[in-house]
Amino acid sequence: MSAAVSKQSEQGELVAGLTQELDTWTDPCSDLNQRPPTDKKRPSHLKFSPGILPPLFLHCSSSSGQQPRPDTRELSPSPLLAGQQMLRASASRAAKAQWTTRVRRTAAYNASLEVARRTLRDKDVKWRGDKIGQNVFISHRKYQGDAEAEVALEKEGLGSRNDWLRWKKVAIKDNIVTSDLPTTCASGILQTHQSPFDAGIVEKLRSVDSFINGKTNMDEFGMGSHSTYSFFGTVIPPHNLGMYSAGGSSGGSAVAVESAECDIALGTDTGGSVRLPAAYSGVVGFKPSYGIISRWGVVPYANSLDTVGILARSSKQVLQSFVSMRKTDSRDPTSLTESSRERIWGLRWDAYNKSRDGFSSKTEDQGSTFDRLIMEHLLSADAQPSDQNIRKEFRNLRIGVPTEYNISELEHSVKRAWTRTLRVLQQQGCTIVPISLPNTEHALGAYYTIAAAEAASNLSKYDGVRYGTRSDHDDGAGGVLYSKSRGEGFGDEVKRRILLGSYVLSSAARDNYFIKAQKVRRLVQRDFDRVFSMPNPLRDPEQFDLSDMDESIELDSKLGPSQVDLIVCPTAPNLAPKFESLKKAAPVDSFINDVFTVPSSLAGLPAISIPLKRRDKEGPQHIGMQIIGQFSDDVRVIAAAHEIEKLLKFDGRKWKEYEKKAERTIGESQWLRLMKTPVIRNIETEYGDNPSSPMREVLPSLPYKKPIRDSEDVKF
Amino acid sequence: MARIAPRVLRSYLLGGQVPARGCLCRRTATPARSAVLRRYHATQAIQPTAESAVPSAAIPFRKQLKDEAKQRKAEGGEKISKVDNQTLDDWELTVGIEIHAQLNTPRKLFSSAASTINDAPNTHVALFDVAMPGSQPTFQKETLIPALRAALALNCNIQKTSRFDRKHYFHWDQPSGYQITQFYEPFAKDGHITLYAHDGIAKEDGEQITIGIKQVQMEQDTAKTISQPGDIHLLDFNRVGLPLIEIITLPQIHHPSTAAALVRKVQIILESVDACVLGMQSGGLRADVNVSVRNREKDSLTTKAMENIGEGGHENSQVNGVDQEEESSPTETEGEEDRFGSYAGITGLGQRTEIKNLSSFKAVEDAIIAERDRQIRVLEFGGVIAGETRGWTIGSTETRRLRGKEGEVDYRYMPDPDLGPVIIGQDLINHLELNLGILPDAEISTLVEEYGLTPKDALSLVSLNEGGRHEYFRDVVDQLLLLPLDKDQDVAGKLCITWVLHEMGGLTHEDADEENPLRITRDGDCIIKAPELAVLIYYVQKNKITGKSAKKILAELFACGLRGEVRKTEELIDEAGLWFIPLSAAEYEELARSVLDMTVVEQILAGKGGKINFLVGQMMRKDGNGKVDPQEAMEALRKVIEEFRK
Repeated sequence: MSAAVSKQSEQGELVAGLTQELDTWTDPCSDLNQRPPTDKKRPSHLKFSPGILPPLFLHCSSSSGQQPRPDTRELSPSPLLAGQQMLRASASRAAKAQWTTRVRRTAAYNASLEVARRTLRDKDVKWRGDKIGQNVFISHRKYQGDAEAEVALEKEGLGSRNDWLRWKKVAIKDNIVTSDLPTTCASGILQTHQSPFDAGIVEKLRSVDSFINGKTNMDEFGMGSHSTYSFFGTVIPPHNLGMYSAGGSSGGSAVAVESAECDIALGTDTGGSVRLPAAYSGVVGFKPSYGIISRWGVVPYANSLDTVGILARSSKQVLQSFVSMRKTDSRDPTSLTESSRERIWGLRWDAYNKSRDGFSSKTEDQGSTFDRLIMEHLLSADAQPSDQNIRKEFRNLRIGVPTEYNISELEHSVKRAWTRTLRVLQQQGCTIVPISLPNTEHALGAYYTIAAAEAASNLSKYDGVRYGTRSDHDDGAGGVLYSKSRGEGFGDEVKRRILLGSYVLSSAARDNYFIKAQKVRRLVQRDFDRVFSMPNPLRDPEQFDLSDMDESIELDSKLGPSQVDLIVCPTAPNLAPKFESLKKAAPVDSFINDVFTVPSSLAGLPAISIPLKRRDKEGPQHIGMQIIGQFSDDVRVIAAAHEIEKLLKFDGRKWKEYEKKAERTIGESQWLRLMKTPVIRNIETEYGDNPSSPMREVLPSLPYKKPIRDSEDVKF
Repeated sequence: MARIAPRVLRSYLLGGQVPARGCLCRRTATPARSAVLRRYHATQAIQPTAESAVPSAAIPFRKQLKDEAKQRKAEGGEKISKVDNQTLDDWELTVGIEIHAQLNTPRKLFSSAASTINDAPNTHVALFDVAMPGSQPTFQKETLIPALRAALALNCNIQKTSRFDRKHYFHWDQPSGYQITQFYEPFAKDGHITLYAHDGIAKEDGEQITIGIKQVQMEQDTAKTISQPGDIHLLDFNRVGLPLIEIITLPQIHHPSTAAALVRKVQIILESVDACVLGMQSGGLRADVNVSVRNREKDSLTTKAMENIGEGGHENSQVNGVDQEEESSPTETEGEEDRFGSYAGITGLGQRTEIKNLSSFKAVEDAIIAERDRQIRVLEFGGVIAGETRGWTIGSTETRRLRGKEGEVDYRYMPDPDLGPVIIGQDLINHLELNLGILPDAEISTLVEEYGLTPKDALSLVSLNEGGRHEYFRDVVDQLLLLPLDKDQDVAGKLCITWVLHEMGGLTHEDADEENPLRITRDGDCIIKAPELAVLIYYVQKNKITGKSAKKILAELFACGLRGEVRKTEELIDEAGLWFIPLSAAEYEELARSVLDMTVVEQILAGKGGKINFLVGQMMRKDGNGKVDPQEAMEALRKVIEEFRK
């Protein structure tokens, strides 16, 4: 037996060993416990006797390193099979029959998977006229027949029959763990990783009989904006000859939805990773409030920013799936608890009832909040899309337009689309209000500091000892523990961000970067709290200083500027770029794509991107428009998106009509004036005080030249 | 009443020795042996110094060594003992200690995997423990209870809000690549611990000394590495993620034996409040020590100079402040501290080095002595102490360099983004404070002050039978006070302790079980019932029976108890006929005559009056029932001997 084979069987053994241990341990939180007693017929090579030899070991000897080993990246099905069998071995007696059927099928999956992977390996960006795009899935289930039959076979009628997600095909981003398909995070270091458990959200999907039809490609560990930094190759969307970026990092999920490979797809949104690909690929992408959907089983990029997002072809589908996904999960310490949810629900009720021209004042008599109203109408099968009540509520909305978002990088067509959308909204009766989010300019730098710091920390677990690929060299080779395994396993962008993150956390730089970024984050949150009429349920009400506000903002009364219900702005300042131009650009150039998505991520707010169809036949076909709401305002955000979607109908022709009508009916308004004024701020001009700072190389906008209000009251 | 585990207190009694199963378990030497060992090690620590030192009259340390050598010679070649090596004339030693103790909890800190010690490797491992991608920590609230008890016992202020931070470094025993600890906001701060002479502090520290505790923090343990030949390391993840507390003292210790006493006392306190895990194969309690020295004269001047610089030159370098801003940026503080030779508000210290992973009290003391001497040697040669991490092997004479400042890992502390703050309610603190029980010091001082015991007897008493002996003692005293003896509690205590500790300790019987012959339970139950013993003591005190008879009755009570019979003390005295009835004058005379030895009589008559005591002894020995009163016996003897004079 060659050394490589033994190494792989070690990995198999490792996973097997762990699972066995986990079986014996009773943790109410672990899904593994729900798996019943271990099957006696464990394959012999997976046997593990804990008393004799712990399954995990580590080489540091020089002799072992000199043994020639074939390329371990050459995939052989054995580790995967080992993983599958291992899980099956621990299946319940009751579910045994189902598991057996899956055994055979999984073998077939694995075979097809291998083919799929080899194709994915082809990293050249070449469009092959494929209708579903290329490198969209990392693991794709080639199923016979329809999903309904497939799920029926496996679940035999368990689960909720009323759930919209029942029998829906769901694609899952490959950084959300599944116990039956590998979870690679599109990284070389996890290329063979088979997770022993299902993520909380995956459990939920399985419980309502959704059919998980594959794991979608992405930027490695979610780090990227164009789904180009994947170990399995760039995601290439099917339209436009595959010339334009699908967006990232949930690019695979967005393209899978767009090309109807699935009904909805799950993505993760850290700084716009769901909204940006949704905008570029022309689908709806929703990032919920932080902590609403369980992150248990989501491989973290930056824990304090990560959210599970939903990609679908319409806002209605998003809402339909969102309502069954928003559940408390005790295994996720950042998941909002049941009591918090109840408290927030109470606060929202009060806020609605109190507000003079609030969203739900009209429905007070009926004893129903807007959330409930919307859900009744959108979720019932016979809901009329143009329901009068919702429309009436919608017309009462105050829409904020952040003047700081009118940046120089904003492409003309995007700006035009933004203006048009606002015009249409105003024409419908909404109040359009210019607002100021003064800390926007610092948000991008703060985001890339915090996210990189957390990423560097989170990724330190990948050393090849317990899972993932391991270098043929010794663990200690090169003088630094694991440097070879990690060096070979991670891609360039990931390494870049680990370096950046390690730097900003280092004792010499922490105060100037990490701590400051945390303060900026707090300021960004305060910006939002100030402009939203609904108070942030997670924070005590604050007094805001008028002197902080931009002079151009008109005051509503002596109390300050008017507050808004929602914010409408573009998802990205540009259209989907060509792959060609990305090749020329520096890695940091793509950071600018996140400029409008990052602030709401930092503040943990719900945001949705809906696609507006362009009239131009040339270039990308969609522009993403983003709607941001206050924390916990998820449903209203989706409902508003639904209304705007209906108004704009994805249709250029109708747009034009509305626009003309709007121009006739609406004169010059303040927001329109502000829109016309040239660049308000240039995001990219801020550099650090220290010219030799390595941050200059990596980040365009760090640290903060303009003194941040570094006062005592800003805590992090 | 809360009772202290005997093994805890035994450590008091045996002067620092801890049972083999104790936290610092490797300490197995008996007290007598350990004294020998100490001397041996202390000498070893000194010798290389003597060899390597260059002859120069200007080196005071060398001079001191010579003096000491002379003194040793004068004392008959006896080697320098550790007790004499606690303080040096010209150099002041400063030590701060970090103690890691494993908390006594059923679950790990962030997963509900069970915390076990001896189970098969890798059988108690949750997904989070091996850092499985996608797994998240769940703080186990129950781990707070022993941690809070420990912090309260160490007189700390419990912080209402505390947080967890990640400390990053790569090592195979750390699956996630970082340890979750409390860096920015620990859960307990500003405590103190008082050490008394009986704790074994250096005699230079006087009767008692109070050492400040900077903070107590919670953190995760690492996995256990089992090294194999061929540079292979097997890993057992059962231990990974177990909750530890780290106790950080202020650098207020100036003598090596006080440092050892502190570690020992911390262990005793942790055990007495049931916070710490015992019976560990290794690593139940580990200490890191920070050692620095400064020249008593020279450095005090420098200190002033530095303080001036600190005030004048750097507005922000208020190194000794503990204000909020400094708290939030400890690294900066650390840097500042190193530059100004200060730590946690104590300025003017020399450059410190850290000795990691000391696992016994002896190692703490020996390592500090060795490191102190090494630093002095370096400084006297005009060298500079480098801020570095050093190691110590048991039985060695020198600390060894592990890594220098340049090899130091930047831990890149970051608040853990998955874990929210821990908010501790005042009601919980109050509840735990009320139920903390009596700490060993309080219990011993009660015995000494209210029961008239010597500290040594008090220590012995509380350390026996898991506290049962103490309970029994209290019962006996209570019973004795009920009898019409008319004595105060402290007198009664003194009377009882002899019987409870010494006489009962001497009882043997072939049927008795070796471990606990008296079958004393934790609650103070014994086969010799407390009231019976009290009655016995009472009769002795009232001269109703002689002490010798009483010992016989005690043995009889013991034998009955072993057989399971319940007998009254009075009954037994009746049966044995041991009631003290004074002998008549005739009986005395008869007895005196029976022991007369003519040679002795002649000696006495010749003037050696003292010899009469020998005959009194003979008389007492002859009387099997202990009825002979020495005074009466002597009178009788005198009378008889006088007859011979004629």
